[in-house]
Amino acid sequence: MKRIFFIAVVIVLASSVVHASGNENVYYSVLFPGWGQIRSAHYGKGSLYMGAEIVSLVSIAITQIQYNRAVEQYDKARRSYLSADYIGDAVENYDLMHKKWDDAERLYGYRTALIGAAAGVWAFNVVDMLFFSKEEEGPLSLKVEDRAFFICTGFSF
Amino acid sequence: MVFHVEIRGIYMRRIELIGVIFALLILAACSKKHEGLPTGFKYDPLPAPENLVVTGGSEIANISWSFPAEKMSRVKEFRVYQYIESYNMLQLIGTTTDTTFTDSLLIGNLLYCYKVSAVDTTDFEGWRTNETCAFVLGSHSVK
Repeated sequence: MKRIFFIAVVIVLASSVVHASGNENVYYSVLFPGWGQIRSAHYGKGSLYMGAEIVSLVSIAITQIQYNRAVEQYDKARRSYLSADYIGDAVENYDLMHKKWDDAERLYGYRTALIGAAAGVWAFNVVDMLFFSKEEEGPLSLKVEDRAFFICTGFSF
Repeated sequence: MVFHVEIRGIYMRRIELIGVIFALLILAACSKKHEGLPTGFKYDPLPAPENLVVTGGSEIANISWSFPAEKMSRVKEFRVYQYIESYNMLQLIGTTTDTTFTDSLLIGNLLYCYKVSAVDTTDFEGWRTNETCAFVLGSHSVK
């Protein structure tokens, strides 16, 4: 419940800041890091934020799957330990239960760190979009001369 | 970007709505922390019987063992297992409240291995002994 409240507060605050900024591209950065920067022609920065967020989210998903698996195996070992009717099975499941508990603890820590990293990238990206990524002119220009014309493009980082 | 949705009087732009759904999905995916690790080892098992001896007879095997006298009050029964080493298989062949057991109707000229354990009054089985083996003679074996 605390987490839902925290996320709701963050969303409301971010929404208010975005409304106040009046910059359309900030909306896109709020939705996914880097998107707004790419729309503002800051391709390098946009790709960096987007890549970091994708890596964080994929890592969260993988860690979550591994965590769920460890918790399932822990629950199974715990049930077997509590219902054991032979000391050999009890000892075996007790050891397995502790091993899976340690695995679950470790993966829970990784997952928390990765959620923090993803949130950090998102927050950094929003701040960057609000204060440091002013919209630039289109990356293409046309220069016409007597017997030739030049199409020029530029990249912002 | 002009699409609006009204949720209980709050107008939300489509992009914000997607953001909220996205955040809630991440939240839902991150399940609650595991809990409920039992503290300490809750069992107090009986020790394994000692001095297990198996004597092969004519199609029978006599099995005997000893058990600490001070712990006999906790013993409900002893379980006798036949152990087949090549399959690492354990088969319960009988129970007894005594410290001897006779396995009969065996096929002669084979090696038989046994393990024994004590079961306490809560039906919890203690440690099993290591296997002890004996050669069982056939009914017409030359002695």
